[in-house]
Amino acid sequence: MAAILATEGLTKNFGGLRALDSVSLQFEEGKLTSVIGPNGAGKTTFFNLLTGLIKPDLGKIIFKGEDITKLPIHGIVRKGISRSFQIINLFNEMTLFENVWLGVQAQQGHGTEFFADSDRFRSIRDETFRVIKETGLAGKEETPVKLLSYGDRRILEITLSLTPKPTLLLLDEPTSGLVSEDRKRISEFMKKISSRLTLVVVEHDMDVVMSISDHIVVFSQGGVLAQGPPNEIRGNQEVQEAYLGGQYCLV
Amino acid sequence: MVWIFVLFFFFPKFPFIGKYLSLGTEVMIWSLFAVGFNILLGYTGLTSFGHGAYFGIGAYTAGIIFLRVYPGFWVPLLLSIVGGALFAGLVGLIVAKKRGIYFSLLTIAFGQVFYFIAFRWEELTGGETGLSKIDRIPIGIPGLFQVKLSNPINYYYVCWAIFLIATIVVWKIVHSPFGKVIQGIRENEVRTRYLGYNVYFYKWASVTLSGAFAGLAGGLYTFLINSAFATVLDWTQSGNVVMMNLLGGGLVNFFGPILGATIFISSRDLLSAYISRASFALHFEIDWLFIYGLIFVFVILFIPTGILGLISGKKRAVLR
Repeated sequence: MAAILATEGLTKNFGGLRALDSVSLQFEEGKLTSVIGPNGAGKTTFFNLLTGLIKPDLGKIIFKGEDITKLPIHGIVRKGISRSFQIINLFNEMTLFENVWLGVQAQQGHGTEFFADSDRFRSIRDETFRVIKETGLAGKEETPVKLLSYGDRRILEITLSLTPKPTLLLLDEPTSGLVSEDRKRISEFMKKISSRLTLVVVEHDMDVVMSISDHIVVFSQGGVLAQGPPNEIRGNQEVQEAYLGGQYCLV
Repeated sequence: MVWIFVLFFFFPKFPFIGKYLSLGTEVMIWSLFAVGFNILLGYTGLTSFGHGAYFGIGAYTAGIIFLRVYPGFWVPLLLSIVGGALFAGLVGLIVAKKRGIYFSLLTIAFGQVFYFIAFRWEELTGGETGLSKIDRIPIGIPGLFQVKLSNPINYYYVCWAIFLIATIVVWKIVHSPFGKVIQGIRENEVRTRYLGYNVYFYKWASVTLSGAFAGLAGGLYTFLINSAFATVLDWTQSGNVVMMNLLGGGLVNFFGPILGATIFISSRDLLSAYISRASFALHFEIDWLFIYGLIFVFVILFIPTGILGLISGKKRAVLR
């Protein structure tokens, strides 16, 4: 299988702390990979590096055979990598419609028109309505995002990460803070989209992880502790001890 | 929108205040400056304390071109727009990488650089004495019609027309796809990047565009007072335009800057007259800047969204 994304010796220090220590990983095209590990293991740092929010001290990031290590965020997004955030990160004072509009507008390559009435862009408008309908948030278009329920904002968070039409999507704890009903909704949604793109998901809910993943990577203390298919990880003694520390049960 | 320009149109006919014609012209010039500045402040959410410099550069450009190159009206004025945009664009290359307080501090620093250059480069700017004898020569189409700009009322209406056009242009800009992106940057810069926008370009464009309007306002101002002094580049000018926006409610309403500029300019003239009279009576020197500082503090503390924000009950900056 061809790797769509590969990292080579990715290293990041924050002051004296080594947040990520020479991580070399490969992500296969079309697969759903879960990244698990205790808090502070370097999962979000890993995502931040992959998408250009911070730059690595050492190492390379290869996407579809191309070195993207030095690209800015928008350059990486345009190559086809997108992400969602662990802490919901939206345009809070704007309406749901305006949030999605901004994403669709970027995807369609608009934004530099200084002098054109934005209401005239029918293709952005139609696509925005279509996307909102697809997410099941139709009817709330004019609601300011800050007034939406937590579950709805979680869904919008994922929706905005999809508007650039990525081929590789990184989801950072997409079910965090959700009640079980919404969790189910989102894990089903992830399963659905995993058929058309490559997904990498940071997730704490083991039920979700075990049921949706093709492959699991376990992070610990800035490095990769183990990786493999779900049943292999489930039986891995080292993972049980180091990562779980008796807090969770993998069975 | 229409009624604002109707009011300004009939201002010279108003009883009592109508005779303060040059005050009216000055209000419109500053309103134009403030409306353009709000692309950056209200819509992009970046506070520049250095845009007085581009107003000043526009003022000097108009003066220098008039005295040395082409003693007309339109050519110096057009070049004052170019001058404002050019220098704002150059500074923008650096400041657009920053945000928040770092952005503001850098804009102050660059503003001061231009101030000292204008002050010291006597050959070009006239130094302390500035430039004078920048006349308003007649405009029109030769042989067809002619408007004598030297007549203050004619100049008032030329400024009115330019102010109207500039306001429409700014309105178009902030309601374009570009306008949506800069509002996205104001709300959430990181997310805007993650949607695929080159945020650096948009911030640079916003600095440059607002610089162009500042330059235009500066050019008009030079022709109003028939001269250009280094004081037009002073940092207080940069503070003034921020103040006008905040006072009127530029953070919540497109027209806030116009209200702010109107109140600011007219009360400055009124207050300075009263203050100097009071100072004389009290044998105690009160500076206009003292009152100015008090107003600034009052606005920031008690009406952070300005007068229009207070009226509409908006407590947070939401500008569409």
